[in-house]
Amino acid sequence: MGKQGWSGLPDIIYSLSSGSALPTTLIGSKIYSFSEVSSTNTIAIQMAHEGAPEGTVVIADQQHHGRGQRGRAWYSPGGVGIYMSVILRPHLPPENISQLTLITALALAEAVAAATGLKPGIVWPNDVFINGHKLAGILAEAEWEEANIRHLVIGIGVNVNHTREMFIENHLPEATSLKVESGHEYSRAKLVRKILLNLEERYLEFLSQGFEPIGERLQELDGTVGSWLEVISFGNRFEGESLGIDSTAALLVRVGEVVRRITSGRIKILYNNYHLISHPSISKNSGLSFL
Amino acid sequence: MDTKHLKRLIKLMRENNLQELEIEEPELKVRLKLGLPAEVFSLPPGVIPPVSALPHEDAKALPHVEVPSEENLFIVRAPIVGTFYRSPTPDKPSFVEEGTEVKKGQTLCIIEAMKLMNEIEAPVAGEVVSVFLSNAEPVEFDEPLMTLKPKS
Repeated sequence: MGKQGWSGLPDIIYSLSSGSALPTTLIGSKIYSFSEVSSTNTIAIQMAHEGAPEGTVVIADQQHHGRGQRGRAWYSPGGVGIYMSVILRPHLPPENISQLTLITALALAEAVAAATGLKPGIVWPNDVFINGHKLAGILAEAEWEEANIRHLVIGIGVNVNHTREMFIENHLPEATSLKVESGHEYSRAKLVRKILLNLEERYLEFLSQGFEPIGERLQELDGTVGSWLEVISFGNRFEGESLGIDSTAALLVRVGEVVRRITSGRIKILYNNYHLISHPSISKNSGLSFL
Repeated sequence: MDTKHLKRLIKLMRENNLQELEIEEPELKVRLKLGLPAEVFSLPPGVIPPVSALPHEDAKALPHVEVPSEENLFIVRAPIVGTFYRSPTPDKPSFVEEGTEVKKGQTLCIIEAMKLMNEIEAPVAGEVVSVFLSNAEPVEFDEPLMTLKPKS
């Protein structure tokens, strides 16, 4: 297990390790905070192997090898972002486990909306966008022993006080931050508290009531409805119109007169409503990458 | 058309070994295809599809593979529906190859569903005898992924 606390703590760490207790009962019951790590998911997975209980949170001011989907990197400079991982040990039927990625995205989008007044949307299954730009991402990794899940680690990355120049210099034109969108800086510690509180509420609701009530709320925040998508699923590529997230957390895509139900793979928005209306001639290659 | 009705149709298709079934009614046209990774509903233009959907097990495709009946082989099966990945990232080598000696608990592959990366561990120590799927192929619930020859 890693060390806890240092001298010269960044604000996010100081506030979480010495401030008032989180208003949660499960998630964040133990918080391990670091000024620098390779990746909070990597550390959380190691802790999970060593028996860390459900709800354990690993948070860092900076990641040297922040990880995204399928080997992509997550830009994780110090002082400006939220990089944290939560260990869960859900007792759920296997087919429901993957719905937790959407539940995390919902908790995240709701926390951001409540804390900032901005209006983030969810891009299936687990990205949070504002105005067509990526604000936050989730990397969920589970380990299975035969038919049983051993643990699930959900990594959350949020761009909080990054400047536009930081994204441009790092070749991330599709990214945005709360500061870029609002012109204000936000307290990362306050946001972390709100995210963990929301995540706990949504997680406990999911365990007791299933996906359906959450699914209805997700549909309200669905950021893809009506957009023209490229879908890569099971090695096949096709395009179609998003009809949104269904009551089981799958994405419905209309391809011609057929509706496909997507449960695996990735999507990319080629055109969204705004672009279709104002830039009918927008080139396909200028599509935003939401992978 | 409700989920129960669709389930009955799928059962009927399985029992009669049908790959494809098309039904046309005045309000709704349904085309069902087994063995496809995603369920396919055919709709008249302008109709919003029902938000109810089939549970994964009902959309189960016919198994891809015949598992050899050799004794003492341990079959590793998929605990969930998703996309099969042989390597942690596209630029890295496969977790295991046929012939690889593995320890109990060693990662054999990943199954992705809704961007949740599920690492499947070796249930026993032994040698990988066969890998039944290639990268990015769909896997169904309980589908055989690999066989292991346990270390004696």
